[in-house]
Formats: sequence, C-alpha cells, structure tokens
Amino acid sequence: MSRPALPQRRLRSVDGRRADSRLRVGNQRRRVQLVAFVMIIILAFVASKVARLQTSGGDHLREVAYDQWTRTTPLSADRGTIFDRNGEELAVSIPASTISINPRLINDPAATLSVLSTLLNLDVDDQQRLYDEMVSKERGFVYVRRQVDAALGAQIAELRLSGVNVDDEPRRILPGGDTGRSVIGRTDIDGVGTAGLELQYNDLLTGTTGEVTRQVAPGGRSVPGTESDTSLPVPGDDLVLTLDRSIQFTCEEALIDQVAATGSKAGTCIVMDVDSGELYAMASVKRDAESGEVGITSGNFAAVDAYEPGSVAKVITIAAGIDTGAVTADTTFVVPWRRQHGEDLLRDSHEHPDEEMTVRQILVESSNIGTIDVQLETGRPRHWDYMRAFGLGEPTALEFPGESAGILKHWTALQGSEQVTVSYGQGLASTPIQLVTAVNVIANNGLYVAPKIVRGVVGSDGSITPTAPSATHEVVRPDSAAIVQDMMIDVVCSGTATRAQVDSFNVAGKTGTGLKAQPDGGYEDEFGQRSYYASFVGFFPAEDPQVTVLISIDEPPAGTINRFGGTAAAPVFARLVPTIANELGLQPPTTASACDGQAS
Amino acid sequence: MALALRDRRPSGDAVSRRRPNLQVIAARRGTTRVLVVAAVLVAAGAAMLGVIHTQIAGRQAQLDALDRRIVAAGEQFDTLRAIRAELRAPLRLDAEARALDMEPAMSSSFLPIDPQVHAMVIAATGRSGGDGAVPDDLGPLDQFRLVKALGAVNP
Repeated sequence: MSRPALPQRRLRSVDGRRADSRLRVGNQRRRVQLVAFVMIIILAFVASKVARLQTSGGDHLREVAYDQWTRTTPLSADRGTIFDRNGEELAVSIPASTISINPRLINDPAATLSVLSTLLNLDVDDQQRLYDEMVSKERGFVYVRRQVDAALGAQIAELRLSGVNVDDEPRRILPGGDTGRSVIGRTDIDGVGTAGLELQYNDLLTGTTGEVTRQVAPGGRSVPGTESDTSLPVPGDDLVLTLDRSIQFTCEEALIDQVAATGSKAGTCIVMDVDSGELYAMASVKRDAESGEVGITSGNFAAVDAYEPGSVAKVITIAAGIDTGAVTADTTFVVPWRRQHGEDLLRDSHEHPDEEMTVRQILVESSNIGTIDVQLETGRPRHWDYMRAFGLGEPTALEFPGESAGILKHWTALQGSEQVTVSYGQGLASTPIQLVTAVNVIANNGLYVAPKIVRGVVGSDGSITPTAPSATHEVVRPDSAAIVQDMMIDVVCSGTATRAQVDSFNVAGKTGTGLKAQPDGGYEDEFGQRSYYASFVGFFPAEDPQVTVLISIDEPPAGTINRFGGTAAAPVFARLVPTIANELGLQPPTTASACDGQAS
Repeated sequence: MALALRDRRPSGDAVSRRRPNLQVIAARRGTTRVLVVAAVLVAAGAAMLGVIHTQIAGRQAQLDALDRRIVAAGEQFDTLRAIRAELRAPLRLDAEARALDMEPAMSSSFLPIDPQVHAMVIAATGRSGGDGAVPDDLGPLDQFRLVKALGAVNP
C-alpha cells in the first residue's frame, strides 16, 4: 500500500526568506554533529587551559589562591638572656602584650576608648589621638600601647572588643636595675640591640622567627578542621658573662659616692681576674650636666674613652728598664725637680733638691724626671716596643662597640718633649681597659692576658659552650715582674697610694694623675684651668695576686687635694677590696702585713 | 482533509519471528545480598571514619591545650625568673638593708677557726649526696639550662 502523497512544503524563516538547507528541521544528524563539534572545541579550549595552568602558567595563580585562603602569622623568637658569672639574670625578656586597634572595625569609638583608657591609664593626649584615629578610620592599624604587662593584655583580650588587637611582644628588662647597664647596653622597643653587649652580640641573642600558616575563611576566621603549618621559632642563645653582679654593683655604688663627694665629672672602675683576664666588673658613672645627679651611664667609658694615663704608665717604663737590664731596682740617678727638654721645662709634681734616687724611689715617689732617665737608659725604641707589648695603642680583644685603640704614636713620630713625656704617661692616650690590662701584666708575673667579658654561650639545647681562653703573651720575665710588684707594694705602703691600704690584705699599686688635653691641644682651658684624670691601678693579695682593680676619677676639682690619684681614686680601691674578697672567697695569706715598719 | 490510517501492528508471522527466546534464570538474590553487605560496610566504614576523625580532632584539641599550657608555663617561668632576679638584685638588697640601718662594711677581718669546730659545723649542717639532683637545689643558670634543654627535646 502506498503512502498518501503529502504536499511538498518548504520551511521558511519568519521573515519569509528561505532557510538554509543545512538547518532544515529534520536534519538532526547535522545539528548533533555541529553541537558536538562546538562542544569539542570548547572542551579542547578548556583542556588546553587546564593543561597550561597545570604546567607552566599555574604557579602564579596557585600562589595567589594560596595567599587568599591562608594567613601566615609570625611567631617571635625569645631573645637570649644575659647572665652574670653566677647565673644571675642581668638582662631578660619577659612576656608582654602590645595593644593595637583597627579603627575601621571599631563600631563604638567612645565606648572602646573608655575601656582602653581605664585599663591602660591613657593620658589625655593619647586619648585624643586614638579617638581621632577611630573616628577618621583612615588607617587600619594604630598602636595603643606596646609591651604592657601580659596579664593586662590577657584581660583586654578577654573583653573581645571589636577592632582591638592584643599581640604577644616580649619586653626586655634589666632585673637588677641599672647595675651593669654600661656594659650590657640596651635594645630598642623592637628588641634589637643598639648599644653595648646587646649590640655586639645581637645576632647571637636574636633567635630565628617562626611562623604559623592557617587556612582562613573569607571573614578571616580559621577554617575548622583544616591543618595549620607551624614553623616554631628558635630562641636566641644566651650569654654568660664574666661579670659578678654584686661586685659590679659595689663598684658602681662606690664610684657614685666618690664622684658625688669630690664633685668630679665621672668615674670608671674595672675589676679583673689576674690569671684569666676575666672582668668581674666594668663600671662607668657620670654626673648629669643638667641635674647634677651622678648615675650609671649608658656608655661604656671604660672601653670607649681614652685619656692620658699619667703616672700609671711609669710601671711600664720601669718594668721595661728592669727587663732589658738597663737598670735595676737599686740603680741610682741624680734627679732634679725639673729639667728642660726641647722647648718645654718638665718637672716633678713637687719641688725638691737634686737628689740621688734609686729606681725604686723613682717609682714610689712618682718622679717624672727620674722616669725619663730610666726611659733614656732603656732606649726609646725598646721602650716603645714594651708599651706596645703591654697592649697600648691597639684595641683589646673585647672588641666592644666603639672601643678606642687609644693613641700611641710610633717613637719616630714623637716630637719635642713628647719623646720623653710618654715615659710617664703624657703624649699618649689609653682606655681604662687597656691600662688595667697593662698593669695586670705585672700582677700576672709578666704575662699579658687579654681581657674577657663573655664566659660562655648557652645553646638552644641548654648546653654551655665556653669561650676560648684569653690570648696571652709574655711581656717581661717573671723575675722582672716580681721586682716591679715589690716596688708597687712600696707605693701603697709608703708612696703615693697609702690610702689604698686595707686591713687583712697586702696591696700593690700605682697612682696616676693625668692631665686632660683641651680641644686646642694644650692642657689649660681659656681660664688657665687644668683638668685632671686621677687614677689608681692595684692588685691584691700582693703576695699572690688574684685581682687587679682600676679606679679612675674624671675631672676631680682642680684646686683641691682630691685631684690626685692617691686621694681621689685610691680610697675607692680600699673600699672595694672587702667586698671583692668576700664575693670571690679570697683569704689573706698568713704572711705579715707588708707595710709593717714602713712609714706611710 | 482525511488521511487513510494504516495498521502499524506487525503481522503475526513477524511477531513470532521477533520474539526472543526466554529462559528461566535464578533470581539475583546473591547480588542483592552483596550490594546490601557492601552498603552496610561502606556505611560502617564511613561511620568509623567519622568516629576516628572525631577522636583525632579530640586528641588534637588535647594536644593544642597541652601546647598552650607548655607555652604558658614557659612564659610563667620567664616571668618568675625575672621576679627572682629583681628580688635578688643587689640594688634592692642594698635598699632593704639600709632601711634596716645596715651599712656596707668598710673593712674586713679574718679570724682563725679551730679545725675541730669547723668539722663539727660541717657535720651538723652538711647535706648528704644526691640532693643536688633536685632542680630547686640548682643554681639559676642550671635551672634555666635544664628547662631550655627540655624545650629542645620536646619542641
């Protein structure tokens, strides 16, 4: 049966135009092919895009995406502690909190400010500043107060105030007050060392900052159940110093008292172990120019400032003369009280007739002219070599920030009377640490031992790594040193340093009264006044020296008896000896007092 | 316009030609059982996974709490060290002593002690060995080192 014939109809588009034959209704296969083709094109594009993102072009996007869904918070590392030789904390970081605000998130500025002001005791200026910030909402971060007590920070955090942040930020403190501040130095508010040992050992004390990375929701909150990647901070190493906090404190107190009592400008004290060179104390005090108060300085003048050492340098000249064999303790010179050298008339501290003086007398009575004779007998080149061997003219091994090398011209560069005045401490400059180390050579039987202030380092595992022993070199023979030691006992017993005598211990030492050079290079200011630098360097027990001590008083009043080393500095030494002996457990030898039978 | 209708049903011969050969087969009860068991196992596994995850989360919360306690204890240790250092500071002791009308000694004297008296004092006040292992008997530096070493072992 044949199908009835249907009328032939053509599809026409709405506007009556003839449709494309390829899109005719009923041409389904072609349409499927077309759609499939388009889909393949799209999928191919997507696949190529995916392939590109997965290979070369995706790193940047992955980083961007990672940044979007993660937050990394730094974890500050604890700064290392600074201990004294007995393990007492000299500088330590304690937990503290820093309060900050995000003004853009604060809904109620007045209420928030009221709470913060009450808890933090903000002054009016701070309140106004914060209120302006909260209202203007221009900045997203403003400090309210840094490094407040951690308990207070926790209290504020508990309030969960909108826009108020509480972050951990350790605070550096000196639990012993200002004791040792001159040496320890300080850090800035960010915990970075800016002076003293805090600066010198900043890299060692500063730990390695850690961080915690967590996944966050768009609101900034942590996504529950997601893992956080934590890199723990590594705390800094800890320093164990050679300082003894009690001796350091006693030195500072004694200096403050003496500088205040004499009306001086400043003072320095160094206490050194004879054998090891370890420093038990290194104190610097200064009178405030405005208030007149005497206090511990933030600068370590004992290593930074250099002055003419004065008569203490005679120890070097006499030791050099004896060690070279140029003189003995009993060699005599006819010594006038003054003598012309070049254009200058050099003189002793007091007028006396020409007299025969032994080398011992020259040191005990601190004769400038006699010391020149010993230097010339030794020979200027050899004398200069000895001064260098005693450590003058170069920084010590402390390598303290800003440490001075002093001034010691080569003997060929010395002009005029300087060629001979260096023998008694004029025409050169030394730091107190150089001077005490030089005299310690005599106490240490002729062996130079470099000063040392860091005893060891506590590592992250709690183990102590001791620092290397101080470098040493022989300067004079032991027998030469013994002769000079004996002379220095006489200086204390019957010479210029009788005020350094103490009960129970025999003391050896040498006074010095140096003149401070003025800005014009001379020794007198515009009013014709001289400025003095009084010092005393001694060691005890004289029979078996254990401790060498330097005391210097800067600018004692020129017109008074206190301008001399024997009157300004030596009494401080005598005051310190009992405390030092007690702290170090020193006991006096059983020998009789060395000063018995000697006039004092 | 009327269109002639055509009977679209196949003819009897065609039906008989296209009819498949049917067979009686066993019901798929085994497969169903396997599917049910598998579903139960999957459900149980999922439940166990949930329990394990909960346990892990709970333990992690405990560990986090422990970490916080360790950190807090470390901070308290540092704070107490600082307080102890302040209390033992010569500056404070000097002020306290002066408040009690005490003054620094300007001189010292050493007195000989009878060795027998010395021995008796040591015998009366000396401690037996072994006490030194107690942390309280350690010096400040050793205490600090001990805590720091523990922190290094258990970061």
